[in-house]
Amino acid sequence: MARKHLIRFPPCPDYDVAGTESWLEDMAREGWLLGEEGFFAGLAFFDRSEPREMTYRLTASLEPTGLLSDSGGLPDREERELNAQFGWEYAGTRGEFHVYRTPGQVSRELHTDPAVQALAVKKVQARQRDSMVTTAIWCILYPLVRVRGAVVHVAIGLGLLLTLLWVTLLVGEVARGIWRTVYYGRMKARLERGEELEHRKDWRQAQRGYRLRQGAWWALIALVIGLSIHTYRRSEAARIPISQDGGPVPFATLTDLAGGEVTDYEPIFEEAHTVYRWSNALTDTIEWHQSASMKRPDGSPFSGGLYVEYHELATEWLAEELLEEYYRMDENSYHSNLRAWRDLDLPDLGVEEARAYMAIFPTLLARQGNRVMKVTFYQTGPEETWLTLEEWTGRMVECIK
Amino acid sequence: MENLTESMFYVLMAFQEGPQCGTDVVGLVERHTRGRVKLGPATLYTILNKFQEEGYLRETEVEGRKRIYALEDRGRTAYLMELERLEACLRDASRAEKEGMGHGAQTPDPVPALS
Repeated sequence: MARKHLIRFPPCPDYDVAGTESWLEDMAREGWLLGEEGFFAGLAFFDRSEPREMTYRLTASLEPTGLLSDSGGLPDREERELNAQFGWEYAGTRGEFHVYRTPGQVSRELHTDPAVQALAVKKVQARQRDSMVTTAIWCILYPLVRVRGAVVHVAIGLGLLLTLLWVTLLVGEVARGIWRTVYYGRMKARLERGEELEHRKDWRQAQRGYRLRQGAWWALIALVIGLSIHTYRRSEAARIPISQDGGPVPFATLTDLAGGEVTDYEPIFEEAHTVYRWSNALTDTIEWHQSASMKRPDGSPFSGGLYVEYHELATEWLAEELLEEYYRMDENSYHSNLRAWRDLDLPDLGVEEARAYMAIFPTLLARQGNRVMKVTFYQTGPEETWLTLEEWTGRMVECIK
Repeated sequence: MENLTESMFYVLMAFQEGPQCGTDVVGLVERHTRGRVKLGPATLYTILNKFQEEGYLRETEVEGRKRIYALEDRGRTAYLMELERLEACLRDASRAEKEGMGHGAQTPDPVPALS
């Protein structure tokens, strides 16, 4: 039984007016007319008909064509009826263009004045430019604000490959918007010069390149999403209770700060008693979250929390940048709350860079070569038993010297 | 708005006769130009849209499926200014032709006789 419907990927982009028109006309010659669904989700829906000569024309929409726009993506009723009076039937909307068709040869073109047609294309270009700016904000500015400029911090979390893929995707999306804006600008300029748009085009010539580009683009999106989910799941699975982690850590732990041979060790929050080790091309990292109460070897009580982010980075430059980012992130988070933020004076710890501040809890940032550590340490219990800043910071940086 | 195109000019001319719907405008333009200018429907729709934005026209009523538009003062002024510009162009051309003839300027070669 012959098929009644056909779904096809268009062989050219939605802004390629001549390509789309020629393709639809060839489909009509093969007995496929654009169906009621027209274009949807990047696909074209056709209905079976008698093979026939059909002329298609795309007209730049004066209003936004999105499904959520006031018009619901449809052309204005007056536009449709005016065109219908001259034999042009509305067949669908593709991108920013409405598609009309008329059987056989054209008795009267939809557009007879290129300069006026340029006004319509100008509107499309303006919408595209707005869309491009919005895309740039969401794809570049927003992520930077969201991560508070901590690009290195995010990059080492994602790994080199995923970072590069994300950058390619985000920059690529903005570049696509720029390209469309330029394309519409050229179309407008051509019309303003009084030249009509091309209507006949061999769409087959460019289809392979277009399909390859489209395929590569969607493959990139799928790869980025898939890898991101995989990385997130792996990171969640790798965050395990300290009791299940058999490996050594290079830095002093809460137990070490308490004096080593402690007794009556009790985690305060089980969920904040974890270790997370991860490696990629940019870093080997250990995230250590430990909060517990215990008795020192001399029997005095000791309790508190130790949060360590320890990195051995691929380069010293990355280490320097990461240290800066850590400081900037905490400063941005806590500086507005003046009671929570205070720079602390540190003695010479014998490392290349070290700074300490109070961001609710005392925090140490230290770097030696390509090794960076961020340590947040708080103590509870009798204050006279607390370690001094000099004592605990000196102990913590030993591992990176 | 910059200079009106020929289509725009004739659309404004059509509205000198009173409020019109789009289809009437197409007919009037063809009548005024003796069929020389045939407005495409998308061209007309774009012009009507543009003229409303510019305040040249306003929609006055909807008759069934037809929208009726009427000329506004701004539209009338734009039409008269364009008319004046075109008349000035014609006067300039006419004067230039007369002056050119008087100064012995080159005249076009005579059309060769058909053999």
